[in-house]
Amino acid sequence: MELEQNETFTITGPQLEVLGELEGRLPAPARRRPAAAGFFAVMVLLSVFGIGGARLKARRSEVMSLYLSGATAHGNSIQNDFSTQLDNAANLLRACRKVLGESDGTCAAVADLIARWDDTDTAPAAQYEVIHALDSAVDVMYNAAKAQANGDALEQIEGLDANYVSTQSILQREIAQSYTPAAQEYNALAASFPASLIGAVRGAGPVELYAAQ
Amino acid sequence: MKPLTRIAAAGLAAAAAAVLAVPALAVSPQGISSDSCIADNAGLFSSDTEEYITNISVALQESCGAQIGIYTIDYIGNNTMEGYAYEVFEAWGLGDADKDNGLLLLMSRGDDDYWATPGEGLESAFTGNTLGELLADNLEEPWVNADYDTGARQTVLALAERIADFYDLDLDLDAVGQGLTTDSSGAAAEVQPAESKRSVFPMILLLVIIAVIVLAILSTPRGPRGPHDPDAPYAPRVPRFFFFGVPRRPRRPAPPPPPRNDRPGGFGGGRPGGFGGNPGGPRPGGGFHSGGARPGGGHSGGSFRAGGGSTRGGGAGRR
Repeated sequence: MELEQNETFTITGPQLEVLGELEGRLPAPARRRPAAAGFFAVMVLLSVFGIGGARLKARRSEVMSLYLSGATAHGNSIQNDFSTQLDNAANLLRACRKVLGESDGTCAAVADLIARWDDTDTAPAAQYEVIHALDSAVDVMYNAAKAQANGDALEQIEGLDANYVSTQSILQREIAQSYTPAAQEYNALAASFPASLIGAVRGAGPVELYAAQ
Repeated sequence: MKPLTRIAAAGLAAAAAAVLAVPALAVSPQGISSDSCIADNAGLFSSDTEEYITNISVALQESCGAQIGIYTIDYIGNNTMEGYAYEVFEAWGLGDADKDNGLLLLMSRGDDDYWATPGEGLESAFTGNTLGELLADNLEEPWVNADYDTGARQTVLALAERIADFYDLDLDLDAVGQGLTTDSSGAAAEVQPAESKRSVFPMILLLVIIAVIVLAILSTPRGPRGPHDPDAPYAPRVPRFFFFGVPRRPRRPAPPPPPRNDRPGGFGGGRPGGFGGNPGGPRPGGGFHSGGARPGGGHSGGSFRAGGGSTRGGGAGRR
């Protein structure tokens, strides 16, 4: 059946009466189809960017918390391990200076990196850069001191280096097993559509990996 | 179908070749058992040394859940000592699952190297420096002399004593390792195996139960009788107790007895080593034994059982 242009088509039913009453209360311009379409579009955008964006941001926070604050049952965390590593480096530096001298270049390099750590952002890429450089500098300093030390001094620096190497292994493994897989998984999600668009609007973009940028 | 069959066969062959042809560069942990704290793949230790180390590890296990495991191998392949020790530790599950207080000593004869890794719960007690010193003081000289028994015994004792200090335990671990213990006067005395100490109460309980049953037999009234030959003379109903074997001879001719239940009793009378375990005497030498013969709900003291602990790696090795 085709309707004439001036005929109206009315749907009746008790459920629609409520909606009909509400529609009746709207101003006249809002009762038109373009207004309804616009309203529908707004709702879609709110759902996608609002709810979807909130979930994406929450997931990003979870991943970052693994790096920034996540702790094991024994209270160990990546940031605590960083602190321990810097302490180990400082202790080894003191022992090596006794052997190599205060003005030794290898010791100065380690000292500079330790000082630089205090000004480093608590971010994976920035911390990786400093720690990676520190590992190399400590290795050079230790080998130089070991070549010259003997007796108790040698025993001391070997022991302090053992502390440093032990914490280094733990730290690298912790990051590789806990943070890196989660970060890579999130980044794959954030790179897909429409997550990439949502992330750009809502500030939930990819997270940094603990690696060179 | 012939071409498809050839292609399928070629594909399978290629897949098999790809899997089998991968060079065995990485050695996987081997010889590990959750019932033993020693995996002597390189055959370095005597049975006395294994017993010594096991005694100490079990004593720690029973005191605080800590466990010391020793793993020997000829070569670790392309692994680092620290990385291989981590894999072995995680595969073994040393230490209590909640306390993570295991400790692994890895000895690689062919690589001429050794390494020790603590569980996460013992990281503060065994820093790299501490472990390095312990190993240098107790293992290096015997290692150089290829006296692996002495090195292992000394090192395990030193590690165990540090664990005992960490948990504030009062244990004479050397005496424990040798199968000796000291009484309150300090005199050394041969210790009864742990299982026999716990055999006293079950034996008493068994005697009490037997006494109760005997009294019940003696005081049982002549109640309703079970089915019997109506032509047979009257006979008292005698209770049947399977673990007492043949019932008491009745005073008058009795009807044929019902079929016997020959299952061993729940108190372990027919099962070797049940409640009572080893009734006494020294534990046989020649290494470790498991507690697998004990009833499921019983106490498994006196035997090693990997606790499921984990590690974050680290540790120290040969300097």
